[in-house]
Amino acid sequence: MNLWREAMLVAGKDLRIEARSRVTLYQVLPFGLIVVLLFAFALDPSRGVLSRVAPGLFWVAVLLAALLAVSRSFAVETENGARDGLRLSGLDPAAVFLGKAGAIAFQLAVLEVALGAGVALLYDVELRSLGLLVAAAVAATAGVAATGTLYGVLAAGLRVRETLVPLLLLPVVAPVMLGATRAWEAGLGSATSDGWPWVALLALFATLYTSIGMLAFGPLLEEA
Amino acid sequence: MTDAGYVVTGWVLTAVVLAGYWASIARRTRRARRSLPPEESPRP
Amino acid sequence: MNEALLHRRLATVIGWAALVSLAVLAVLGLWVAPPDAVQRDAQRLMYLHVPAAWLAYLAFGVTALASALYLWRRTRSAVWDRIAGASAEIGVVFTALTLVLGSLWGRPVWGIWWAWDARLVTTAVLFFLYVGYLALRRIPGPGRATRCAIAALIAFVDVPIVHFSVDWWRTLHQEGTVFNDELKAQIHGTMAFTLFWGVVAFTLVYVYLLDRRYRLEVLEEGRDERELEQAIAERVASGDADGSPAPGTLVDTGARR
Repeated sequence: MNLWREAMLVAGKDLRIEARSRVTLYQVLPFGLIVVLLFAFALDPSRGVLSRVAPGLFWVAVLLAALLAVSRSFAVETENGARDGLRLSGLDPAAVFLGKAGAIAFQLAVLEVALGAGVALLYDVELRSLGLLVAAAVAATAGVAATGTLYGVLAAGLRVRETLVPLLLLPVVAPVMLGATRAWEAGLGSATSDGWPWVALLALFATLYTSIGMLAFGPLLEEA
Repeated sequence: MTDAGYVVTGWVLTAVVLAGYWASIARRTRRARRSLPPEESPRP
Repeated sequence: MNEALLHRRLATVIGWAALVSLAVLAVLGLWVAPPDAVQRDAQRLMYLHVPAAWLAYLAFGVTALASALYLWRRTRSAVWDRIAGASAEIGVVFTALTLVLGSLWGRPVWGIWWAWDARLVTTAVLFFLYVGYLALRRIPGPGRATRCAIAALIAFVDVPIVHFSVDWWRTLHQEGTVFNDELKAQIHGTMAFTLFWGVVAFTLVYVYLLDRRYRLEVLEEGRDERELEQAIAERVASGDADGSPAPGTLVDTGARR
């Protein structure tokens, strides 16, 4: 089986688990929406502050939700020796990486659509360039999913996994935060500068960390 | 000296941090050596 | 003179050299170097802040290089893992020092404790990358070296991306140009020499601390191994003392197998 078929196999498994357990839908998504709501309590909704900072708040909410999605992705591998199963399955570790990262990315994408709608409704934003928003979101999500999967497997067998992964992941994805927010500011009309160079940066980040992930997943899975 | 407060704080802090960190390594080294069985050479 | 003794002597020499050069730096930085035309005496903090920053990044580079050497099969050795760990601990100390000294310098000169420019933000991110690495390091187990090595390289690759993206962001905003211009100001003569001396002194400090921290790492590894062996031995012994029966015998609990 080639790399893509194997990756689809793994992604399919993870998404089927999600379809049956609905954890991302009923727990992670509401969490994201609550975060969006909380920001409105923290800031003044009446003076245009929210619409100006909406892109940043959106991406912070996505990033926090991503932490939960990554945690969940590896929590499903702890029972019944599932990790051993992955190791012994004969699947190419790079394919397993792509599959798991892909499943996380897919779930994040669904999350982003829902959170985006929430932000549009609650924060009163204006849509300027949908293409830019989508391109930035795709690249940013790929980068976060790849890096999250990388740290997820790194911490997979450790008891302190829950507190360790956020500490490791968030500093590394700071540039994604930066780039995605700047691109969305341009796409939502609150900034005048061009958002597309930021999309290029996000794409570079995603490519880089996907490559690292494909290389490092095997050794890390062995140690998990 | 102008801004003496800042300058002195910075230099004293640096001295304290470097000395303190060195002392921390020394203390931990002593503690680790104490748990050595007698036959092992203490200095690699 | 055998190798270990030579090593000890060299370490002692470097230690004293580091101490003396720091003392000389204090004389140069607080006395000999003239106050700056614009910043006046506040500039004397630069003679600590810049060398500390240099060291923070040097230590990080060493951690990354040692991690790579550990991961590469041909050079794999516990020595690299220990160097990576030792250098990281030293690095986090210098990174924290860099940030605090930067604030102490920035406040009297520019009136701000913090600025959102690429160098400061990258150093702050570096601090958190270090903290994460050290948290990983505290988790024992056979896979520790590989986990930490990969984490170090992931972080190493990230640092230039962070720097570049923040730099780009700030140039787009065109804020803090005064701050940036003054940081790039030329320095000459005694001030330049003092700064150079500071870098040399701190590098000696780093080498000395690395050696000492490395030795501590060796000792602690040995101790952890012994504690593990002891725990296993105790577990086995308590199992025997329980009076667990040989397989096949009836257990006198009233229940029959």
